[in-house]
Amino acid sequence: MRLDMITILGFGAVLIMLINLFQVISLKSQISGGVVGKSWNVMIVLVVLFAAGYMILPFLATMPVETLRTIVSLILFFGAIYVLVTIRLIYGIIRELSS
Amino acid sequence: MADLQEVYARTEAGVAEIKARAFDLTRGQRNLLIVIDGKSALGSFAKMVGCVPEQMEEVLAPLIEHGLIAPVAGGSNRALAPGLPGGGGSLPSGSSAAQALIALAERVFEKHAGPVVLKLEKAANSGADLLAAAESAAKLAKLTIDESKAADFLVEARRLISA
Repeated sequence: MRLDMITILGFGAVLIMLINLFQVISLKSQISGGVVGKSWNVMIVLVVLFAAGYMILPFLATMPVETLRTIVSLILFFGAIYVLVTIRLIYGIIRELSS
Repeated sequence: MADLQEVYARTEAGVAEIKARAFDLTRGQRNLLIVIDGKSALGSFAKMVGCVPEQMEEVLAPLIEHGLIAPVAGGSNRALAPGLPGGGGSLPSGSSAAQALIALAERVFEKHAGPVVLKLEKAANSGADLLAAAESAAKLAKLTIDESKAADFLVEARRLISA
């Protein structure tokens, strides 16, 4: 495997996503429910999906273009959902704290 | 049966146990350990602990047995528990209102009460307004524990504070 900038960035992304996965699961024990708890379960599922999706990054160069486009589209789609959930969660927290 | 007019205080081991949870105490025993204040008659804690005064003996015994609480010398406090067969349902006075709130949080949120209890303890230690602390704790619970339990806690906390 060639150690170019793309590969290094890919491994970096996988590493960070694994840290995210560890944190999102660890924090679950402190968030049993409530406004945050409801969104948290969705976020765990999304981070698991991302972590799985990011695992293919080191193999990008060996994949057929169509497969690659499908995977990238899925990552972008779930990324958009993740952002939506995060924004709604932050809005819920702000609304609760300002009530 | 326990003398419900006797006054008990936490020992050093009792203070440590609140944080350490080393003994396998029931919720009632733990609540009693938290609210007991060295000033109020034992009977006055029955309602907070969630039992009738006659059941206090079984809640009390393990705490004494483990050396977590001890009777206060000369502390029999009949004036604080009027009109009861040996105790009362009213709240202990003064700073123990914060402890009553902590016991309430333990009862309502059960095993998830930790962060709420910490918040209340912090407020009690800094001398902050109890109602504000209870409202803040309820918000925390609404965000991270359970929305309906948080509402119940706030209603009961307001009732406790205004009593």
